[in-house]
Amino acid sequence: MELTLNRLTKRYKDKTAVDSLSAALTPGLYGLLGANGAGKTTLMRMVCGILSPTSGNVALDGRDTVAMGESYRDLLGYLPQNFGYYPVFTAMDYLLYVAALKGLTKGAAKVRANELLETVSLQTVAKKKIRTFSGGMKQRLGIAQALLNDPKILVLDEPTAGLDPKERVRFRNLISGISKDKIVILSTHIVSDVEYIADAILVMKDGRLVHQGRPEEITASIAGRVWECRVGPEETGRLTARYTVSNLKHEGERDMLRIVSDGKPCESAVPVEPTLEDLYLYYFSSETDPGIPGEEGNR
Amino acid sequence: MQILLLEMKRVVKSRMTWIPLLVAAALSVMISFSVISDAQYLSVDQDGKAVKITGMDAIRASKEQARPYEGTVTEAKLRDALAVFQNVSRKYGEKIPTAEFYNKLVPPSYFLNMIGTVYAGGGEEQDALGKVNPDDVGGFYRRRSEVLKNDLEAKYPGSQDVVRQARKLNDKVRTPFVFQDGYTSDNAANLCVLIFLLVLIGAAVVSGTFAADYQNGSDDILRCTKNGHVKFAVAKLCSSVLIVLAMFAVCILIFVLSVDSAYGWDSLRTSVQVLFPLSFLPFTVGQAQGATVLAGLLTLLAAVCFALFASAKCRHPTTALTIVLAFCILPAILHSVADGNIADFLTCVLPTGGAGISHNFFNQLNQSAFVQIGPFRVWAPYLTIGAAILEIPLFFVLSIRAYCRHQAA
Repeated sequence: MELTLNRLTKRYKDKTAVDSLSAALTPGLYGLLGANGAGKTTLMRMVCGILSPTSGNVALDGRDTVAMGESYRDLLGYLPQNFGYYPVFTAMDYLLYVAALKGLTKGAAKVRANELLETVSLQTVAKKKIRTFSGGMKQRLGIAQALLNDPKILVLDEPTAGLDPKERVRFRNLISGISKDKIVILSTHIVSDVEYIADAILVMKDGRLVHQGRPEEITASIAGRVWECRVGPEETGRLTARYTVSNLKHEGERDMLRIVSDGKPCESAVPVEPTLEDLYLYYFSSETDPGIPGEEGNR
Repeated sequence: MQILLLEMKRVVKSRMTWIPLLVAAALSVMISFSVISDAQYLSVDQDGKAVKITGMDAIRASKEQARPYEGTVTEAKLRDALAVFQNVSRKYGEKIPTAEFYNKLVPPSYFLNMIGTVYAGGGEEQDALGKVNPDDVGGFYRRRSEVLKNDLEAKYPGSQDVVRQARKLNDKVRTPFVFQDGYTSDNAANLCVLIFLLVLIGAAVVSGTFAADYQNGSDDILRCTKNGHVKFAVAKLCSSVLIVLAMFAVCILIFVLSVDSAYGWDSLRTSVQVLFPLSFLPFTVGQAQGATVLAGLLTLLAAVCFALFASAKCRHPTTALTIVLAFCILPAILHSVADGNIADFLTCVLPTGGAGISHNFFNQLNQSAFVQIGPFRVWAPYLTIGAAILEIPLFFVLSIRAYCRHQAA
């Protein structure tokens, strides 16, 4: 199974949200990283067929997914960024409703809905109205609905938004466990969501795919650009203002700084092994902290 | 089928649905009650003072008083009615005593109206009643057909097609007419008001069907599912239509059963011409009521399908609701402010053309309005029904198409 994105482009009046993006995805878990506005949601919507590309197409094993229609949607599970639901429904009602739309028989739908409610720890509130749920509970229900048809292509847009740390760990393990033989695309700007479970990372910026590869491969691309140094408080102020600091830890009178920079930031700095978070900051420091001056030169 | 049932269950559970449905049921009860309670019968007591009776008592008293005139409207009965009028007029002039008026002139009032309309010759009906020779009333039915033909020729000069169409229908009018006291034009007017309100409520209820899902984001998930395109759209459309149909059926049944039971089912045998002497509709008032309900149903379906189309096209339910309500009242506005063939045409062909307060299907049935379409003139009720029949499948299909082509924001 191969999902191919062929020069996918989505233009709005004065903005190109996704710009001629190409990728070939085989079964595995893909972490889609990018700052807000990078085009992740637009890309995912095009993959799911709820948004038509301005040009390019999505193909599954060489067949255009739009032409595949129902048979493509049968393989699809989608959790959008803003999980919309019907407030009058209970969790069980909602899952049965979506299951019917996914073509499950009434009996199979009940079994599957119960299984998934247990998986996402919502079985005790199965008969409660969704409008009474917390954000995390709604998100877990959203994940459950996406899994109802045991999708071969699972698209999750910011699935961990609203989840507490324990729930996020549970979610990571759940996704990791089900991603075998599936193409899972998980968009996030929380690096730790995908750092340890993703088979490949896709980094999007300004609608383009700026990097893709295994986590260790793409972090290797910024090898020599991540530094650590132990400095005094005065120096800390200067470095923080000038460079992208990915971590700052007070150690007695001195501070331990982790800096993402193209050049050596200070005399005492030593190169260290980059992480995915460093990579994210390397590419998106301007979006995450527009106040950093001279951002390009600081890399 | 499973999707349809689940969708219906969902829609019915929503407050946005059941509150308007309850309002519709309450309105139908209130209107039915007012039609019965507003019935009036005026008479005089032994002291000669006017006495007003209302409600069921008034309906019963009116029926009792009209009994001598009930049954077949023979020319002899018309002659007798005219003779009564002329005797009272000759005796009292314009100052008819109250008791004489209520006891002698009110019972044959429908007959006097028929004679006055047919013999007025463009003048006042009251004058005509004074001048007509009772012997001439012997040719009432022949004279009525002539007046109808002359009226149409005057209204549509040179349009023999109109006269031919009207005559074709008029030839089917059963003569002599039948009169059973009870059903009045007010009953029909109130039925039309109820239909108009049901159309408004029905269209408003369904206007959020798709647009609300677009707005709250639930549509994004649903349209990604295997059955999330045409099948889902059809299920949503069908559930909306079925719920609105159920509302219409319940509300109309409440009205018809209560009002017709109160006024008497036998009064539905009355010829339409007793109420509207120059109508060429070959129906009894019961059949006209049935046709009005049927046209109301078609109008409701056309309006609902249009509302669903607007909902499938709009991203926000408020926008859809505004458009739908504007279209619901547009025929009434056009009817009251605009004149001419284009206004008449638009009034008939708009999805809600068959529903209105002053402009409604019952009035169309009993008026001789023809709308010019190219070289043809079409009787307004035919155009209204024909447009609704075309619009129902048209907007149904357009709604499916609009939903399937919708793009996430």
